[in-house]
Amino acid sequence: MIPSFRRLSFLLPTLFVVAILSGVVLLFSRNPPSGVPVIPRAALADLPGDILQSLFRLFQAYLLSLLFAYLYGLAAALTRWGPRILIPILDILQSIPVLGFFPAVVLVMIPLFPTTKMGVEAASVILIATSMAWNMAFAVYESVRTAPSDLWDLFRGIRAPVWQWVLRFLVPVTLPKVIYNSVLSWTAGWYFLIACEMIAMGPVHYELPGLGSFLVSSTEKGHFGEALLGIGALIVTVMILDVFVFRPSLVWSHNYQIGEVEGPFSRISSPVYDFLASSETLAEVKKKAGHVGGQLVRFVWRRGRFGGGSLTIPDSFLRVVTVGGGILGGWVLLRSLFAGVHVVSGWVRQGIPWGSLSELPADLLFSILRLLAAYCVSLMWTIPVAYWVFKYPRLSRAVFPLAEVMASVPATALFPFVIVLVVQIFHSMNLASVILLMSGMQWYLLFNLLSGVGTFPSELREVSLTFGLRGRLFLRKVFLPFLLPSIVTGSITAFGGGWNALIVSEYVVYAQKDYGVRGIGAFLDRATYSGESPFLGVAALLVMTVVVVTANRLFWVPLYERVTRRYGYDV
Amino acid sequence: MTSRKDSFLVLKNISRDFTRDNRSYRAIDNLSVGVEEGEFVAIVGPSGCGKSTLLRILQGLIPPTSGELLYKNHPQTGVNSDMAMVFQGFALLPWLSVKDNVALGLSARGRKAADIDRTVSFYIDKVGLEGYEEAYPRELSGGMKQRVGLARALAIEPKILLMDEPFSNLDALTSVTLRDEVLMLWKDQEMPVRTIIMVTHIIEEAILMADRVVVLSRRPTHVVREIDVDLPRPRNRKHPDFERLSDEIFSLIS
Repeated sequence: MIPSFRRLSFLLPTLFVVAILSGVVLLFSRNPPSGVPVIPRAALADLPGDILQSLFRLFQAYLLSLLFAYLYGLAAALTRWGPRILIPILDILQSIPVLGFFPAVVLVMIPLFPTTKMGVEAASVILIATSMAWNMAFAVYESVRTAPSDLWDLFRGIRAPVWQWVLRFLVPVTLPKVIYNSVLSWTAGWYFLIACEMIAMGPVHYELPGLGSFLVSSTEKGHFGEALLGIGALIVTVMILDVFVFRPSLVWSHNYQIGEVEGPFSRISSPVYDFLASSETLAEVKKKAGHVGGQLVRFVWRRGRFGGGSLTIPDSFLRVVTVGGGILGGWVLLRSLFAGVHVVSGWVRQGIPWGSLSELPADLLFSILRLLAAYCVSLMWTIPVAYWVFKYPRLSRAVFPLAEVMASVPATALFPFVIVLVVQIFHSMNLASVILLMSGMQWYLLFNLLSGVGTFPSELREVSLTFGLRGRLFLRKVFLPFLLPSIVTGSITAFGGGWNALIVSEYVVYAQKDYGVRGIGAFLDRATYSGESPFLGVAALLVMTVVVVTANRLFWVPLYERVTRRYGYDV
Repeated sequence: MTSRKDSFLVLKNISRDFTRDNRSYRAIDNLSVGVEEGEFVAIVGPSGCGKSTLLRILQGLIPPTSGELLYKNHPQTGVNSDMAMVFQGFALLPWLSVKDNVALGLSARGRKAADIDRTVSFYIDKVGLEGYEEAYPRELSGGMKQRVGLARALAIEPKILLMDEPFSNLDALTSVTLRDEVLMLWKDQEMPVRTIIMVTHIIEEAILMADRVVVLSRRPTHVVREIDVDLPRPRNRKHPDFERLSDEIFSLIS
């Protein structure tokens, strides 16, 4: 049992980080938001404008995530304490369900801006970014850490100046993983768009013009056709982005792939990229731009008098930064703790709602059972599909884009249909909830399985053919063992998505009627929207985060290590 | 090139095209060659010339675009189960033990468990892996991995053994020992396999081991010359005839 205890040692820092975060929030939120700018919505004529607004919001969130990913990822990869402190923190941040950031972000952002509308807009962008940023930061961290040591030695050997490190090392090395994760992040961003455009806290209710709120308000009113049109518009937008942005970027990023390792999307093709790459005018423009850019960099370089210096920063500067950062950090820490204690003691004096809190364990259990059910059903259909794609590789051309589009459709957008179909036919909100959960889980599984199938070595195929391994024997001895690492990675990400989807899947308002089941997601929903006692929301969030982090540390990470050691194909 | 009469295995005017990026390439062009029973044939050629493709056409893993493949005077369709392949990259299943890897082809043929056990341990002993039955591939050195690959191929007791650059992923010393052992196994009366076809890019290796060397051209690949090697065994690479042959093949390839 000793190793398990050691594995539990992360719990203390987890609680610590959550406490600090909530402290920071409380510190900055002394004047709680008032004013209720609800914009009347859902006229069909607004749809194009709404889409553009949502797109712009997603784009801002993406830029923010990208900036964060590089700053945080580099800090984690290049500093001594990065892997030990920053990475566990990132792990925890990733485990907090997206909705968990809601109160924090809204309370912090609104007082920071002159008008409430600007504050809400900023809060919305940051909320969307919390569904995009973490995996990208991991991508930067991993690519830098796993960069071939030969490359490091080469750049150090030629005493490369900073611009060369950035342009020729950092960007190319991180590009494939960052672009791949950007695509995933956009998918996640669309998925949570709806939750992030409707910001409700207790009695206060904000609604931003956008595709998400268009969908919600049209379903709330029961306007089926409009909702359908909104979803159609969403799918078209996702497809346009896919064809004109993501696919060309993915294909392009393959030029930077180090080694022969086949990535999940390595078999993807893009006519747009082929067109752009073969266009001679574009090549000319690129050449000129590259020339001018190079001149500019060199000019700035000489002027900046960094000449000859490689990655060295003066010691005195470092010391000043460390001391200054330490003092600032300490001040924020102390004030946060003080504010936190003050507010929490205030809540305690108000009285702890034990009655509601005692429902939490049972709710948690219900939610876990629901997650497991959704997971099993997802596994049951994705593995056969993966095998199918393996047998008929041409199918991947159809299955991949389809899954990508389906994964982008926000679960909440599907709610009215699922609810109408399931609740009114089977009279079971539980079933509806499981189906909604699947919408947040199954695609991760499918993506990972398909990428596993894509890397199936031709050697293994030939071995199976030469020795006559067919049918069940092939499945048992070759296909499933080979796929096992992908199944585990897919399961980890699926459960991550599942916990996030829990909050939007257990409690739905449709056509002025509440549909809910008992579960921790519904619990958190009620706590956030009803504003009964802030204690409940914090408790639910804390329980959820601890459960997710614990499950990862005690179950998934050891399992992943075991499986990759035993089943990884690199012989 | 004309194939010999009544051959065991005959390739007639084989061509193979590949498509990549919507363009079609001819990898093998009008290639004819024959192999007799009990022969050790080495196929050499410049790198990237389609040697391995040829081997896969032989077993029926990939179909030729045109041409005819006769095995025992009958056209061959699909995978020929009288052949077994030894792979360049070993191609062992990392999640199976040595024993289970060797047993792979036998269980695919639906043999009884006791029968499989007996055959597997016989061939594991033959390749000198006794004591490693329960080990996993990742615990083995390169040479031992290829021994497992060899045992796996021999265990199904094929009529023809195909070897795709079997020694090129091994260090020089290991490949010397393993070469000798393959020759010993070939001469071993207990071994049912009499015919070996080996692809290699090392000319010395071909002359050292084979009865006949088939020299292939660059792409599109065809047979440049077939050279009989009638040096006495065990062969000595210092022998003047050895060097003459080696020079001759070298000049044909480069």
